[in-house]
Parts: sequence; structure tokens; C-alpha cells
Amino acid sequence: MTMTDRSEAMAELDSFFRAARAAAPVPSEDLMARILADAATAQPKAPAWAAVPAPTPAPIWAPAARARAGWLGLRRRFLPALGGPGVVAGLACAAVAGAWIGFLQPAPLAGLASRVTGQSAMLEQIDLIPALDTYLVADTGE
Amino acid sequence: MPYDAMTEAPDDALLALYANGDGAAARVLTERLAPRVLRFAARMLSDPAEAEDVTQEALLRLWRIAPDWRRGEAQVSTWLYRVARNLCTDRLRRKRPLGLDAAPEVEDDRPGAVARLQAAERAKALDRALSRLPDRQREAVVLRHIEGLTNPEIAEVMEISVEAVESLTARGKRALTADLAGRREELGYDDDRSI
Repeated sequence: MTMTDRSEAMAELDSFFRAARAAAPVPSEDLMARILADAATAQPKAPAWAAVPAPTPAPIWAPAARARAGWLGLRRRFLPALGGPGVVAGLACAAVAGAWIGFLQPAPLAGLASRVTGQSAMLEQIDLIPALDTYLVADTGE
Repeated sequence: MPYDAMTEAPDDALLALYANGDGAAARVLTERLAPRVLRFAARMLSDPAEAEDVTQEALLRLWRIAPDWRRGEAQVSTWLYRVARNLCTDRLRRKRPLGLDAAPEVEDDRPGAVARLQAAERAKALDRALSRLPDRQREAVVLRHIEGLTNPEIAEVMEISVEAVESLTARGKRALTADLAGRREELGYDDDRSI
């Protein structure tokens, strides 16, 4: 086969490829419906707390119901903003633990504080701003 | 995102939208990708029903991988062609337990000679000639000359080198040319320009 014959043959083959592209099968409506049904089934669901439904307006003749609806609406708005119920629960635990440690000063923590500050006094007896006493004395003219 | 704007969005952006719960993105992706997978599978399997099953299965795998899809690492279409190719290969293996390229020639159920080979007849003749090619040559030729992928894209789909793709398409085209030329008398276009 000469070069000319080969190029003619390839050009002819290209016409077959063009014809094949034009006669390509098209997905049936049934196939498209099946694929979309699969897509709907496999689609990841958004987290439930991410949706913020509009609060239902409480009737004006029921102030208790209105207050309850207002509280629920506030909670629904703030929970997602803070990261969801799990994060809010964690924050609440941390706050309670902090308050408990501050008021009771458990022995292990008091010991740790003594080592850090070099004083053996309780936390409320540590003078964090020693100059303040001088200032107060000077201010009162004593 | 509005539906019209989605039709211009790249595949991976639509896949991210789908993973975030946007149902319209799935429709746009399906309309864009399903015809391509179906065309490829139909030419690989020569069986419309099986080609539809492969298309549905390939898209289902795309939906499942959507939440874990990492943008920029691969093209969605290339990944999908690779999945479709593997599904087709599995089906062809089940059909041909003796091996991919050791199968006997497909029986030709072509009708009698026609006065002139029209475009539709040419498409059918090419499909028959393609079905007689070894599988890997057929894959390479279909992806290159019918689906319009570049050689590097085909290399990614077939997991071979670009040089191997070039070799497969060249051999495939030579075999197609010889096959179609050898059957021109049967096809009844002897008076047409020779191939």
C-alpha cells in the first residue's frame, strides 16, 4: 500500500468514525430515571441541626406559648451557630468544671498553684497586684 | 446554584454540590456524563441492555464516591470511563472464559448488499468491525476516535503508557481499515471509493 493509498484509507476510515459519532446511542428516559433514583438514594444527608426552620409565630393571646416558642426559636438559631448540640454540651461542661475548681480548690490543684507561685497560701490570699495596697493607702491619706 | 449556571460548571464542582445535598447537580452530571458512558459501553459490549446496566452501575459508583472526591486529583469523566471500562471487562470475561482476545469472531448478521453505503450503514459496519477487534485495541480506538479523548487521558483510563495507547490505536486503525476493505464487496459498495 502506497502512502497515498494509506492516507486515502485513513480518510475513509475517518468518515466511518464520523458516521459512528452521529449514530451514537442516547440514554433512554428509563435509564436516566434509574440513574437519578440511585443519585437520590446515595446522596449524603445534610446534618439535621444545620437546618434552621423559620420559627412558628405564637398566637398573641397565649403569652406562655409565645415565650416558649421564642425560647425554642432562639435555641434553634444559636445551636447551629455554636456548632451544634454536642459542642454546646461540651462548652457547658467546661464552664461547670471551671466554676467547681474555682470555688472548691481541690487539694491537687492547690498544691500545683503553690509550686507555680512559690507561695503556700490559698488562691484567694495571693496578692496579684501588691502595688494596689500602697495606692489605696496613699489615696485615703493614711 | 441556579440550574442554568450549573450547566457551565465543571464536573468536580457539580460533584461537590451533589455531595452537599444539591439534587439538581446530580441531574446536570447525569445529562452530561451518562451519554458518554453509554456510548463507550455500547461499543465495548455490543449489547444495549448490558451497556445500560454498566452506565447505571458506573454512575452509582460516582454518587457513592462523591463525599470523598478530592478535587484536582483526577478528572471526573476520566475516572468514570475507567470504572466503565473495568465493568465492561468483567462482563466480557464472564462471556468469554477462554480469554479476552482468544474469542471467535462474532457472527455477522449483516443484511444483504445495499446499493450505497449511507452514514447509518457505515456506522453499523464500523460497529461490527470494532466488535472484531481485540478488546484493548477497541477501547483505545473508541476512546480516541469516537469519544475524542486525548492520548494522555486514554492512558489514564487504561492505566498504560501514552506510547502503548498510540501503538494500540495505530494497530486498531490498521485492522479496521483491512476489515472494512475486505468486506466492501459484501457490503455492496464496490463502486464506492476504495477504503
